[in-house]
Amino acid sequence: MLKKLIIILLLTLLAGTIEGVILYLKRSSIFFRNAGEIRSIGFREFKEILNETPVIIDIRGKEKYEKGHIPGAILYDPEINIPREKKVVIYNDEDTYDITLELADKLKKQGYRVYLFFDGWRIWKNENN
Amino acid sequence: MKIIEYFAILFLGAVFILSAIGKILDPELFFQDVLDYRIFPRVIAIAGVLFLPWLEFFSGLGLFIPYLRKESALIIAALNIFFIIIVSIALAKGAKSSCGCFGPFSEEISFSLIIRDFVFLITSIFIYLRT
Repeated sequence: MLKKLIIILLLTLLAGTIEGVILYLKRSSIFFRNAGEIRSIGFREFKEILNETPVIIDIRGKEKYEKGHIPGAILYDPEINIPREKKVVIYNDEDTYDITLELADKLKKQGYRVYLFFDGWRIWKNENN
Repeated sequence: MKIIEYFAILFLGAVFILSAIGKILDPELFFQDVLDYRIFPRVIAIAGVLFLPWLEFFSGLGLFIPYLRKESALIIAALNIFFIIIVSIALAKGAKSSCGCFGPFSEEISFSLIIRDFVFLITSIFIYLRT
């Protein structure tokens, strides 16, 4: 009995570890959610923050933004002027992790309350289907 | 009785394999769902995202392999007890997010999930006792 349980657990451990390495190399959001003091949020928290009418920034680029975006989101523009009292939610996709963290860090240093909604558009679509 | 046993194995094995595949194909979404339960610290959530779907997959698959059937049924029973506890806590906390049970095809956390997990639990115990 114990030997067979160990077989199943070892297979699980092996497969999970391989998946973990692959996801890490792909820079999956599950490993890159925290950027210093910047909060990352899930879908539920995002919905709660929506009640406070935050500024939602889509950082995925114009082409992806035009194909579809979270309602109310604005396309990232370096010249963007954000009211200081507003919360800022930045969402991205797997191609834009690095610039998301850079922007979040920059806004945080300017005194904004910044939240990261990793892979936001895809999760938004999935949750609203 | 043998036919019922085969049906139970087919049913539970398929459910667990499909459930695992949904999570394995979309780990980021599953991660969001786990975080939305607001029960687990981040590091536990990451471990859960990496290992739980594979445990479901191999124990689901193990039901179809006579050599591993009894142990697989035992693991599935334990998993279902775990799910019942987690969903109960989430419900008590008023969580209304996706349960994360089947990746992108998951439903919202509700009492019916607990009933469903009880059905799976009874089925797995039945398989365990019959093997």
